[in-house]
Amino acid sequence: MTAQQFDDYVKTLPEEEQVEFMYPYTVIREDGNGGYEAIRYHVEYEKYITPIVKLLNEVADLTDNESFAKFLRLKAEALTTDNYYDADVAWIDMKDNKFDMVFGPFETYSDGIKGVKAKYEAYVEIIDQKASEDLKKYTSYLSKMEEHLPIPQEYKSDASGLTATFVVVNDIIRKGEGTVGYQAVATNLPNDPEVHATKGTKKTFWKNMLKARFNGIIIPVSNRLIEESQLKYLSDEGFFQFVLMHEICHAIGPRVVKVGPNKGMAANASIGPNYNALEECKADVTGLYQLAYLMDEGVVDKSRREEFYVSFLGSLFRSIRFGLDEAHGKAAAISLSYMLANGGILYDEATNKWSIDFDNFEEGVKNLDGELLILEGNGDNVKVQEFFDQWTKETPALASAMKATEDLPIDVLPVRSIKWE
Amino acid sequence: MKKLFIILLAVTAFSCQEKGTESANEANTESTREIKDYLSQYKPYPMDFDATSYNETDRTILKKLVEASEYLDTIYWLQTSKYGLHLRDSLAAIKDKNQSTKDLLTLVNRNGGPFELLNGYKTFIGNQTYYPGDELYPMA
Repeated sequence: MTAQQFDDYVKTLPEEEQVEFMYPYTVIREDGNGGYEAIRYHVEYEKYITPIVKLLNEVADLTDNESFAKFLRLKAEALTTDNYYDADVAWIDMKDNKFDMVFGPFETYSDGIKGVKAKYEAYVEIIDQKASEDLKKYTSYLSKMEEHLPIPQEYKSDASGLTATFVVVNDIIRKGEGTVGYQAVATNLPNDPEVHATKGTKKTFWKNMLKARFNGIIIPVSNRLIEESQLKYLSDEGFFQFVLMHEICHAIGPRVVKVGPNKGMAANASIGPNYNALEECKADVTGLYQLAYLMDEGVVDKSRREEFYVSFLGSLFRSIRFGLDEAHGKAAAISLSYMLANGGILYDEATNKWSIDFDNFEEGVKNLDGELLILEGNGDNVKVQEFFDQWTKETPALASAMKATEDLPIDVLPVRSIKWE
Repeated sequence: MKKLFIILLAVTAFSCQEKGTESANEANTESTREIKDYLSQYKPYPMDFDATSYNETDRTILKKLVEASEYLDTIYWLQTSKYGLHLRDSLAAIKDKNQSTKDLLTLVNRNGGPFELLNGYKTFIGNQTYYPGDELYPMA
């Protein structure tokens, strides 16, 4: 069945059936009469749903955390109806729970026909209380960070109403879609727009997977490309801090166009496909800029400055391996090439090694951040394209970096074990 | 009986993946190399969890959640590749696995089926080609 065949068939159906065909939680089957039918997941997979429901309800009886019990019962119920709204809301509302999980059908990106069907994934998680508390401290600065952005006042937004639910966890097991493809280090769920509108989303950081990525992938790449005297600053905690700031900073900066003919329009709609790479780069660079601010404010330990910046540099060399046509690859190329030309990053052609210019790095970050934020606020794709043409070229320095690491692993293969007794 | 058939099918497919004109041995070497190449993209990384510091109730909670996740895992495979699920279970059931079998099982697990996700869904075992509807839409 192709997307065209699907569309042609669905067009002939009454509206309520069309909804079922496009529903994230149905499979499409031949109906035996030359047509098709949409079957809800809980019917198709009943044999496996039944024991899951029993287990989740048993855990709800065992836990002494009421919000966790409520979530488990609603999730169990949702799995038998494929209506997830109440369970999703209860998941975002959980409080003082030790354990958490991402559990059920969520992501739709591997549906290669219509991109709407969700695959099941499971992450069983222990909440990292200390890291989650630290995060709350940073997010309480959202408004101040918006005000601190290095852009003229007319480009700033009112961030006072911004709230975000963040949780830092370590997963003890991943199953289903969580085990295949690139191993995710963070997620923003649920995907249901109705939950977004009423409740927002919850951002989960898998700290242990972040560390695995850093130690398993970024360190080997960095060992080949970062100047030897700076290798001592590489640290998984430094990388973790940077990733937190990256995610927080997706929430600040111009999300709508601030000036010109498209004023008021969503920045992503105004800019088009280039927006993804631009926004990734903005989150990287704004994250660094605000990290410096939080260090100056005494919220983050400033003795770790070198650690944050060199670990960030190492992570760029992982990202450019995805290629300069991919959003994260493009974003990494911009940071490297722009700060190499304008100050902040150094490259030694003779040794093919890179380093942070600590004296000029923060100034370089500020300059680049200003340019990126203004590009978003202008919402003019012609200007974005000009900027990309200048800074995402495959320069000899970037080509050498990619060449020097092409034989290294590109993702981790988690080897799991749990000690119960 | 069904299992045995699938194991034979898998091993045959593994041996004959390259052109039929080559000897099974040469083809096998080539497949093994391809599987080694794919595996080299992934860095094995130990991720251990010690549950012993938790009290008995918490350990029971975690065990039950892990068990529930195993059922969910089966649903994922049924959504994605029924052939892959049979292949996984057949390979896992082989006693005294040699290195090639272990490697193949690792790669099947890491991809949730017989197609390499980091390499444009290229088939690395068997003779199916990737269908973007997986098991969610009928193939015809």
